[in-house]
Amino acid sequence: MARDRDRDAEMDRLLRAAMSDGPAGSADACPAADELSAYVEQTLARPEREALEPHLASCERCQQALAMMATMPEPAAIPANAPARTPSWWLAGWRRWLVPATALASAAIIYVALKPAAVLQPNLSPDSIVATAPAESPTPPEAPGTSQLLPGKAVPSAAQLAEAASPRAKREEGNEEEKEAVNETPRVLARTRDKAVADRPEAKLEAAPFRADEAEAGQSATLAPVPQLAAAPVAAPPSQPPPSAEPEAMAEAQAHTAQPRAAGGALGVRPTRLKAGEAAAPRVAAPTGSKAAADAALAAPEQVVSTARGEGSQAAIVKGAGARPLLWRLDPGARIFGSADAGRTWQLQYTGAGRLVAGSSPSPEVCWVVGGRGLVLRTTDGRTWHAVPFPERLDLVAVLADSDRRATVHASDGRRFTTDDGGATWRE
Amino acid sequence: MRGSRASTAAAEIAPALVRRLYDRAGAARWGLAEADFEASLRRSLAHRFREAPPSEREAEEYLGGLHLADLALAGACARGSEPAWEHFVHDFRPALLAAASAAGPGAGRELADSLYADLFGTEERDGVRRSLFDYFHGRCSLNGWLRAVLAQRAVDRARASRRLEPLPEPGTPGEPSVPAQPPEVDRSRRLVAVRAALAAALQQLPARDRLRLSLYYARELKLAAVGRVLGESEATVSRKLARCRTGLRQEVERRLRERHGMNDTQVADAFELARTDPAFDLARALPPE
Repeated sequence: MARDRDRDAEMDRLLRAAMSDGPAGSADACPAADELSAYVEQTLARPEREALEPHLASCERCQQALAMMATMPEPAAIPANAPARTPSWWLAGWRRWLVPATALASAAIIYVALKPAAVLQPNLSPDSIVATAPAESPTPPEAPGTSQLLPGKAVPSAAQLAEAASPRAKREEGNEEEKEAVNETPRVLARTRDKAVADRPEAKLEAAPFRADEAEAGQSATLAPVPQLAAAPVAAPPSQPPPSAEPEAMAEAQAHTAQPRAAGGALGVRPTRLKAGEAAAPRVAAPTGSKAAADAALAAPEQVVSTARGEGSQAAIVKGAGARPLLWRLDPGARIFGSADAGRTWQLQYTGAGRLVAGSSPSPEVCWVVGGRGLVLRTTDGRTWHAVPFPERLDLVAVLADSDRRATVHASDGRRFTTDDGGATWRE
Repeated sequence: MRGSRASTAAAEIAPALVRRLYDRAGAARWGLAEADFEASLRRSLAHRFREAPPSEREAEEYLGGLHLADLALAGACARGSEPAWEHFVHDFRPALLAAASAAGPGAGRELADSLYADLFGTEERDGVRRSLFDYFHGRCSLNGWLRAVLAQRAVDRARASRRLEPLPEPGTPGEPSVPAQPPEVDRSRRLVAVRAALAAALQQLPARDRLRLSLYYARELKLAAVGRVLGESEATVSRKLARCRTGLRQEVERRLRERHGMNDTQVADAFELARTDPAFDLARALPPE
């Protein structure tokens, strides 16, 4: 018996040596991708499967393809809109016109980010910023307290940025019905601050308090995580012209909107500046927005927009449920600020160690937030936050909460964990 | 079955069946016309039944088992439906990007770029834009199909680049060392015997067993990954591999004894020789099917 086992082990070693290069090849044609995939998904009828297997057993190419498919991450393990897996090349056409759109979101975020703990009282109504500020005005009204600190350089106004950035945003400004629909949908808004803007001190003049309705006027800015910012944007020297100063990008953006439809919405798209050589990427026509798409996206379970990882700091805005939603801002320094007045004022609610990445609010005063190394926080009154024990020190990248008891978190390695008891127990 | 591009005329699809499938697919959500959806169904039917048109019942069973929602989405994307593209980008993008990354960071990016362009359809034929979506027939999930297309393209690219690699010059360090002395005759004879016996034993195995062995030994997949390909549990894969090994060993030993007149000691020595000999490559001994 022991001798048989030894021989079997010997055969194992022999097969390992003998088959290391795989089969030499097959004489007949390889199956099409749908047959190969149907084979893996076990949806072929038995006769078809049995007809296919002799080829697969002797075809190196097909075996290599099967092996690669077997090592690809399972789709179910990938949270939709996971920005860390969203290379900028995905929609080559989109980014051209989303680059300037970034400026609008960035300007709003920077203002909030630079004065997080203070009570912010802007002298501009958001409406004037978005819709009524004269486009010709080179310098927008300055927020009190900042004009003395910063040189009064002429920079495009937020309205100019908005107008230049996104014809789609402009189109949707007047669509109040759509805005309401968007507002009523609980979701998470991911926000980052654009380095191009943050690096310019004068850009802070553009900063406006974040308002959900303002952001939603530009849908692309609302739903798209935008490029990273430096961790300390203050007082950095100007390094790049403002996004709106990119006539080529803007011209292309406008041109794209007139082209035939090719790709989907701005969901999860990560706009970046064009770099030299990127023109080789496939050129596809930029899509235009649609109410159905926006509704579908906002109503979809993938309301959780996690922030990008490993590229510096990033702030995320979590919007609560309800008609007058609370807002929470997740700062890179593991701080959470809350706002009950659409971002006009912010209060520090939590500070701790670690990195906060994403949040989800299933009901008006309930919010779950996740971050690096298994950090999970939860509030049930909209103000006080409690750490929720998590079994593993995994980097968590997204969360989708159904209630104050039930939530599913996504780890960076693709695993998902769900709790039904407020975090007391988790199951994978 | 494979390799034949000739398609026969698809059987007629009853209008009521088309309507039912159209509703099941939710194709109206993407603004896909019923006639366009029917065209997708016909194409899928023709692709599946290339040799002979199916009976009405066969066609109904086949069509009913398709991934209809994905088929409708693909058809709508191929026709440039805006909401369909929105949905595709939102729901399929993360999986596609992650799948592309399996081909390597650089290659994955290029592959995904290329695939995306083909999905949109950068080429026109007879004035009609041809989208890669037209080749999705709903026999598998759209996600699975995208993964298979990516995998095939990645493999083809790797194989093409491998063909372009120059062969090592004689005498270079990469070349297998040539033994200074000719191998002893008995050693060579035993090696040939093992090789022939093992090749014959492998050829006797069912194709599925050979595929399992290849995926495990040649492609070096883990048991769980082999199971994902074959639709088997990890334990089943392990058990069947062990059974194959035992069967192969017994068959090789039998052949060595009966056809080559070896005793137990010689069989054991032959196994050891084959295992340690660098030139022992069974893949080259196995004829292609």
